[in-house]
Amino acid sequence: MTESPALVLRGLVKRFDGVLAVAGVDLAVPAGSFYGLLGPNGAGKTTTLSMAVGLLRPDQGSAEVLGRDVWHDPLAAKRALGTLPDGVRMFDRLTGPELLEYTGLLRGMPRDVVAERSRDLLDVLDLARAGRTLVVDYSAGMKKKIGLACALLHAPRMLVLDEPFEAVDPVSAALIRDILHRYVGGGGTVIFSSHVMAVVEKLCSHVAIMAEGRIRRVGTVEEVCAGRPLEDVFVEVVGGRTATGAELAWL
Amino acid sequence: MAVDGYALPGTGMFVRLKLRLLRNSFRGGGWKIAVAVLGILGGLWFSILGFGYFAATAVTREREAFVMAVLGGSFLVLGWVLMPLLVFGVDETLDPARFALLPLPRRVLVPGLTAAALVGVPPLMTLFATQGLVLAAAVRGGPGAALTAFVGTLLALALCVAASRAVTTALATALRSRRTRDRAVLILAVLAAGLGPLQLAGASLAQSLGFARLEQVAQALAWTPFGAPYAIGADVAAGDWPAAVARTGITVLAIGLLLFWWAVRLPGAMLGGAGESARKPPPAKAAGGLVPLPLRWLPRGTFAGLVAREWRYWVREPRRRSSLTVLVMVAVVLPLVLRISGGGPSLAMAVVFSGSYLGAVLANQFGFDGSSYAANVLAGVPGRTEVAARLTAVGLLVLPPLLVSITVIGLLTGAAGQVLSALGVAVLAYGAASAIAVMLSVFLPYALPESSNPFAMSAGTGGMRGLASLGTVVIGGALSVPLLMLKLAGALTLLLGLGLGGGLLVVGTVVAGVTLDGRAPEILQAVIPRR
Repeated sequence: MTESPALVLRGLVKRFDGVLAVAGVDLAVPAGSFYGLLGPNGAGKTTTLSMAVGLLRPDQGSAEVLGRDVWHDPLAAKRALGTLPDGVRMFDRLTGPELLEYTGLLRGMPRDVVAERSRDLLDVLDLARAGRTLVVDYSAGMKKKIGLACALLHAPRMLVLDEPFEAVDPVSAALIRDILHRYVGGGGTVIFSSHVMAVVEKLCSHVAIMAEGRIRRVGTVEEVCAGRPLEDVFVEVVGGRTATGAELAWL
Repeated sequence: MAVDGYALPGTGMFVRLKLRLLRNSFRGGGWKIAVAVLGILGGLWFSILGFGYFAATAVTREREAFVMAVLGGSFLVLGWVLMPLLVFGVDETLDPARFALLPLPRRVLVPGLTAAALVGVPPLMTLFATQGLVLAAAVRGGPGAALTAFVGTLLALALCVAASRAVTTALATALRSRRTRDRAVLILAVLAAGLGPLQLAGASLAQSLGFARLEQVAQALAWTPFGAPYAIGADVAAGDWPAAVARTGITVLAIGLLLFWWAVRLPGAMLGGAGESARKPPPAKAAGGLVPLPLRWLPRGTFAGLVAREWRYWVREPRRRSSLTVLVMVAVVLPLVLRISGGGPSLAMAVVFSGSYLGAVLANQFGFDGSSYAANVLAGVPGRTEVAARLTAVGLLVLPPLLVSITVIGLLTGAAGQVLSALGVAVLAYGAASAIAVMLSVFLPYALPESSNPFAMSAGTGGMRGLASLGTVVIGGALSVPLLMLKLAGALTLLLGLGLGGGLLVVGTVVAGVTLDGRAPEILQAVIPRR
C-alpha cells in the first residue's frame, strides 16, 4: 500500500438555494484502501461524491483523483475513475449489452476489448440471462449490477460507488462484495457510500462518518470503532436517540 | 365500524385533503406560483367566455337557444372526457393508488374521491360558465325555470366529473405495462397534433350543414347524457315538464352508471403499476448490437457510439419518438396542404418552415436525456463530438423523409422545375434552425417531467421555453428567406443551401461544443427533474 492518496477532497462546499448541503469536506482516500462513507439520509454523501467525480461543480474546494484535478483536468481524472452514481438514470432504453457497448465506445475503447469485457461482466454479474430486455425493465438489483459493470468496463484504478448495495438482494450483494474485494486486492481503490453497517464493517479498511454536511469521524475501521460495534459509534456520532423501552408502551 | 374499531373518515376529509394539496401547490419557487396564478386567470377567462355564450341564449330565438345550449353543453362534456388525456394531463392530486394501503371500503372511497374531484379550478370554471343557462332560464321562464336550470347545471357538472374519472381510471388500468404506455404516448401525441385540423374540419362541416341539420343533431343529443342536463332549463321555460323529468332521469342514470362502473374498477386501479408479466426475454445478440444496421459504415469510436445511442433513443424512447413522429408528420403534410389549397405559394415558399420546424427538435436535447446525461459527463465526452453526433443522428432520421417528400410533392403538384431550389431552401432552413437549436440547448436547457404517466407528458412543459423553440423555427425560416427571394437557378440554389446550411451547422456545433465543454455539469443539473 503506497502512502500517496488515490482521492483527495479539499474543503468541498456546496449550497442549494442557500441551504448548506456540504459544509467543507476534507478527505484523503489512501491508494489501495477500501473506504466506506457512512451517513444518515441527507448527510451530503451523494453531493460530496458527485463533486468528487465531476458531476456537480463545487462552490468551493477541489477534488483530485490520482494526482489529477477533477475540475481543472477533467478528462485525465475521468479516465482514471469508474463511477456508479445514485439517483441518476442510465440510458435505460438500451439493453444491457448495448449499454455496455455504448459506455465502452464513449470512452474510446477498441471494439473487441469492449465485446470481450462485456461478455465477462455480464456472465459474472449474472445478467446474461436478461438477454434483450431493456434496462428500464430490469429489477432494482439488476440495474445496480449493470451500473457497476459500466463503471468497471474501462478497468479504472479508482472506483467511486454511491449506494452500491441499496435495493440489492443478498446473493447479488455477496457477489458485488467479492468483485470489489478482488479489485482492491489487485491494487484498486474503492470509496462507496452506504448506511448498511454490517457491509462497511466487514469490507472496509477505512471509514468516514458524515452528518449535516461535515465529516464527523474518519480513520481506519479500528481507529473509528476502538473495539465497539460500528453501529453504536455511528448512532453516537450522528446523534440519534436510543429507545429506553418506556416509550410506545401502547404498541 | 371499521375492523380496528376506529371511525371511518367522512367525505369532508377527502375535500380538506384536496384543498390542502391545492394550497401547497402555491408553495415553493416564485415561478410555481406564477404558473398556478396563470392557470387560474386562464380558467377565469374561459369561464367568463362560457358564461357569456350560455347567457346569450336568453336573447336569441327559442329554437336557437335550445341548439346553442345543447351543443355547447355536449362539447363541454366531451371536453371533460378528452381534455385531460390530450392537453392538460390527468389531475392526479388524489390518485386512488395512494389510498391502497389504508383500510377504506369502497362506500367511503367513492363518495370521498368524487367530492374531492369536484374541488378545483376546472369544476368551478365549468359550474360558473354554465350559470349562464340559469340566467337565461330566469329571463325566459322565471324563478321555477331558473331553479330547474340550476339543478341541471349541477347534474351536468357531476356528469362531467364522473365521466372523466371513469375514463382515466379505465385507461390507467389498461396502461399498466411499460410497453402499452410507450405506445399510448405516441398515439396521444399524434391525436393531439391532429386536434387542430379536426376542429377546422368540424367548423366547416357545421357551416355547410345549415341550421336545420344542426337542430336535428341538437334534438338527438338532448336525449343523450351529453346534452340532456343542458336542456332541462329550456324545457321548463317552455312548459314541457315531462321532457324535463325524462332528461333529468337520463342524466341521473348516466351519472349513476358511470360512478358504479368507476367504483367497480377502482380496486384494480388502486393496485398501481405492477411489473411486466414474466415473459422470457429474447436472447441477446452476440456482443452489443448497439449500432443499428444503417449506421454500420461509421468508424467505431466515441462518435459512432453517440450517434448509435441517439438513433436508438429517437426510435425507442416514447417522448422522443412521439416528438419526432409529430414533427415529421407536420413537416410533410404542411407543404402538401399549402400546395393543394388553390393559389398556394411556390414549392420553395411552402417548404421553408418544414425545414426549420424539423431543425428545432434539438432545442432541448439534453432535457430529453434528463439525468441519464450523467453517463456522458462521467465519460468526459468532448463537447464538439457530442453536438456533432447528436446532429448527425437526428439528421439521418429526418432529412430523408423531408427531402423525399419535397421531391414527391413537387412532382405531384406540377412543380417539378422548382424541386431543386425548394430542396436548397429547405436544407438552409433546416441547417439554420438546427444551429440555433443546438446553441439554445446548451444555453437554456430545462428539465422535462420524469413520469410514468403517459398523460403527464403533455402537461406544462414550460410556456417561455416553448416560445424559445418557436423562435428557433421562425428565425431559422427567416434566415432562408433571402435565398428564396434571390430566385436563382435551381441547382445553384441547392448548392448555396447546402453550403450555407452546412456552414451554419458547423458554427452552431463549434459554439455549442465549446460551451458544452465548460458547462456540462451545469447542463446536467439543469435537466435533472426536481422532485
